[in-house]
Amino acid sequence: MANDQTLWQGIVNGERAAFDTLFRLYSAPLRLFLRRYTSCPDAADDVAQETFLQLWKRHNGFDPARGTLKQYLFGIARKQAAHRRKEWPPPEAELAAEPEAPLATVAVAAEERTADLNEALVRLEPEERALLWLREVEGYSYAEMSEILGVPLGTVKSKLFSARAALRRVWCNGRKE
Amino acid sequence: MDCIAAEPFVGMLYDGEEVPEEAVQHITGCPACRSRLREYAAIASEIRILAAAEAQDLRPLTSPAALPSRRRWRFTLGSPVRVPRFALVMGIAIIAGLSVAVGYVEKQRRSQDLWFECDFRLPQSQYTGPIHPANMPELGWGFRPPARLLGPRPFFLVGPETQLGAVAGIIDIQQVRSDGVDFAIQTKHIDTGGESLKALMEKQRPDGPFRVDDLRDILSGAPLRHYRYEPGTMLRVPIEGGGTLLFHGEVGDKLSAFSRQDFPLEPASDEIVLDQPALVVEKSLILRPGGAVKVSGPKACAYMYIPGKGLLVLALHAFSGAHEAAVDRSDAMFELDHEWYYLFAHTPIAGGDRPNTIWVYLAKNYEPSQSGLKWNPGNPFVGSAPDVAQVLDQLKK
Repeated sequence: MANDQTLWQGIVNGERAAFDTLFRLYSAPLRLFLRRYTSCPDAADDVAQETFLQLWKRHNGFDPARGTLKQYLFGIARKQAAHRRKEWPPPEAELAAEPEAPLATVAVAAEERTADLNEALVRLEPEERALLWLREVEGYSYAEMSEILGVPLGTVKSKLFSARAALRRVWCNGRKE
Repeated sequence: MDCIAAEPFVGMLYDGEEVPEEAVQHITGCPACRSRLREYAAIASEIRILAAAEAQDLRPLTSPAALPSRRRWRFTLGSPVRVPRFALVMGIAIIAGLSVAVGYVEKQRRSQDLWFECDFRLPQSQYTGPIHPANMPELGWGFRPPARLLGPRPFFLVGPETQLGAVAGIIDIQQVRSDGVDFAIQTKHIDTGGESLKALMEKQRPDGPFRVDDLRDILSGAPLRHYRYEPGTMLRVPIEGGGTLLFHGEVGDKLSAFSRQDFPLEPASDEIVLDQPALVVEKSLILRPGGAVKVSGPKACAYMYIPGKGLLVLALHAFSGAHEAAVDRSDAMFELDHEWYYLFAHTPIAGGDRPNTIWVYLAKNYEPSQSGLKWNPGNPFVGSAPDVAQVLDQLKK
């Protein structure tokens, strides 16, 4: 796999293959992150397209010393998404549907769990959702998340704490409040 | 330091960030904080499973470099369209009708759907989950009947204390209310005469899956005990023939997200734990067998039956045909036959230094019937055995 530096140099040189590699590597995780951040798949895909397009047409700003290319990509996508916040639908529109009648208890337990988690995540603040996703799915450290979201380290800690506490309240213990 | 002061550090400890020593000491020694840590681990596991599920649903996106010009599909879709007046009226009427119907159905559903989630086990038994009754010296079984699926259910418990036999029973959940659950239970220690449970079940029902009626003969003579159970309490049910069954349950409007068993957040170096595992294969298959197993000992193994693929065996030490799997806390990742497998669990899978290694082997095309199980081949399960060699021997037969 090409390293960040090589990949970036290729993109700067206008090499389509380098850009396609970048797109293939990071478009899925970026879209998943943006979908969770915006709670709107269409807006997320739109932002993802815009982000890659921006990178392809105006490739500047990436500094390997400050983090990975993926981190950089997530950072600019997050900023783009935040700029277009008023285009996101209200959270209620994205609440997960209740699962249908169960065929097996184990299966329904898993279905309900996923639906509950979706519902609980939608109720969080976008930044809280983003932090949870970046931490649990992408495995970023607090310092890296601070870079991506452009917030101080203390904010990462406090928001992650409140996100988990809220998620736990809404979803955990198997009880609705 | 108390729980309130330590609370903000629980997540940080889970994330591997720097935490004051005082907080670490409190969290590791405090059952409430450890429980919160366990919950965070479970939430993390569920988020990763959700991500894997969502990755499956992603439709391909064209690389912007391949697009002739900027495409803004959302604006295209959002552009105004002429709608005939009658169609608008019909549309509003349909939406109103559906809203009323959905509200009614939802109200009905809410009033009926109380779940009763219970587990029953022998005092020393540490396993729970859907059963693999053959060749399992120790296991327990929990089940979760929703109110609408009440009725008698058979169960078997086999533990170190049952020696050559087993504890068999039928539990009949009759009514579930938030303040109490009515149920009847009949349970008996049975001597299998050295035969496996599998052989016993086959003798009772040679031609098909073992059913609750097949157990009634076995349980003859055991009294049917009726209980009004107070949710959250621990009930001790006497077993005909000796022993006690520990019964515990909760009533709620949904199933619990977490395993009721207190699985370790720091497994010992000779332990494998699969707590409510989920398996993702190449981001295209999600398998959630339910249940949990914990097994210890130098030769011990856990396994997971994957419908359509086979039996996945996991052990702490290398064995013939096994591949290395990287474990990082509650996640494991490995490659088999050019496919990547991701295993997520609610609590750490293996002890020792992190990231650590376990060994995995996929017995391809294994079917439960192969080991004599009357098991629906479409249902996954987890199980464990004290010696991986025994399991491999069974698979060769």
